[in-house]
Amino acid sequence: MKRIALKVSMLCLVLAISLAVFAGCGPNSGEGGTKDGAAETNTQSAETQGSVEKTGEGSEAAGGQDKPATNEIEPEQLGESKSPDTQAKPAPAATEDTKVNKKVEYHATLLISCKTILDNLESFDQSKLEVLPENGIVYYAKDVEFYEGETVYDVLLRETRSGRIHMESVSSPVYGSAYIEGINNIYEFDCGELSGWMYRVNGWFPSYGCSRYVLKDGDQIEWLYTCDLGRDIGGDWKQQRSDN
Amino acid sequence: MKDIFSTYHPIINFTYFVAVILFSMFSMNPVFLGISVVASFAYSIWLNGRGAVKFNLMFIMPMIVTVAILNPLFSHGGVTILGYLGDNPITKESILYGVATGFMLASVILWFSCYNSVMTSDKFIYLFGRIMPAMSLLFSMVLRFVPRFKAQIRQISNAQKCVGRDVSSGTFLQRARCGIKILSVMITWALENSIETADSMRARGYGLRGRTSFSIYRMDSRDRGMLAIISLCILILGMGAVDGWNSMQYFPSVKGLEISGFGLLVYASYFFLCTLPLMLDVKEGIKWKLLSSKI
Repeated sequence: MKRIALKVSMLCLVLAISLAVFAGCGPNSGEGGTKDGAAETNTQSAETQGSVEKTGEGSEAAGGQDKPATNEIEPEQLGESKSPDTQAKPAPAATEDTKVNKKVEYHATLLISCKTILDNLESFDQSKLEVLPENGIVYYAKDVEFYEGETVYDVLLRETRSGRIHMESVSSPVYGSAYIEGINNIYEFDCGELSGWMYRVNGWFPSYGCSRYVLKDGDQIEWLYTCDLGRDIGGDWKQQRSDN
Repeated sequence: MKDIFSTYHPIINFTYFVAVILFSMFSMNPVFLGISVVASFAYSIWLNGRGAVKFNLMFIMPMIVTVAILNPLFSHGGVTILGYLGDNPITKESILYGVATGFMLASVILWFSCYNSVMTSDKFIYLFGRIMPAMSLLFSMVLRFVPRFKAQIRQISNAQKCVGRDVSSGTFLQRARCGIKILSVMITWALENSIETADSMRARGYGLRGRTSFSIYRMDSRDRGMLAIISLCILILGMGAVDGWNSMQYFPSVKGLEISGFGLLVYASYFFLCTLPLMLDVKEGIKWKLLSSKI
């Protein structure tokens, strides 16, 4: 029994020491990361910033980048909000800000298409072939009604429900928005690991979630399935960023 | 009733349960699920008597229902939309998948309850005591823990009743106080007991090199024959699993099962494997009747 008591106390000691070490190391290693990140930002072009695909060391560097890189990102954000075509590219709306006015009816066109799968049939989930439309169009472009203050998500939800089209979404609190996982049983990752649903309004792929995009009268909404992270439907985020 | 299958060599018991539990775990085909649930249900009742019936109905049935209800709340795939919950659809496919998952879980739990009464800890230690002494002792102690804990709780609560601390009577506060007392006694007992077990096993030289242990297991022709039969079944089932016979498509739509010669063979061998212990017992029973009627 004595030896066990000794062992237990040793274990406690080791735990305490390791805790202290971790607590002490945390900020130190963080600083190291920041420095590395800063060095990287200096050497690399602005393209690498905010790269989502980066993992491991890359994400650490991205975490470190946050502080030194803000001044480089800011002009872009400013440019976005100050650019002359602000009307075409609205800033994301906070969910609590959006107020639906049911008295004012607007119109928009909605299209849901997964044509890109037809070009990538070999990587498509074979059991899902039965739900894939022959011409790749899930919902033909149609004029839809909506109310003032409604978002792209509201319109998609209403139209898929009334059309008995399957649609699954999940709300992601981190981005304050809904994320569309699958439409018509065609889900993200069903056609390769870079596949999923993206939306385009008036020819622009917004860089935020669909439930934060408040629609205006006459908007053209397109829900497109990508098999290559947007590159195959003209929604390459790198391209869009440099366009801005 | 004495179980015949338990008298076979531990290797056979162990292989059998590993195979049956693995195939139950990875099969979502309704035919497989049905065979597995029915066979494990019957065998657990055969082994554990009336207590098993109560457990199965009180615990397994609600579990199947819970899983069947929970799955469509979290998984929304499937082409047949029955209704909407919040923004997401409730589909027939995910309900069916939930039911199938419930049956799968039930069959695995039932097989484990059979495993517990057939693979006693001495058999397990006989098989693995040499290869991994610490692990096998730990494993058998863990498996034995819950039943032992239950038996000890009964003993202690009876003893506490004798000194006037009865959990089953008095006000709520009094009963809670007695319950906590019993719990504290139980935890002390469990901790002390585990240390004592470890110490006594060490004192006996458990796990040392060159130390032999007594066992009454012998691999004879009956065991070899049984091992061959089980291996054959596993081989056919393995080939069937590679061919996809143990699964069925639930998403995006439920696809009915095709029937072919090989598929029927796979089903038959799964049925044979799952009901094997029961068939042995029935065969033995018939033989006994015949022999005693001849006297």
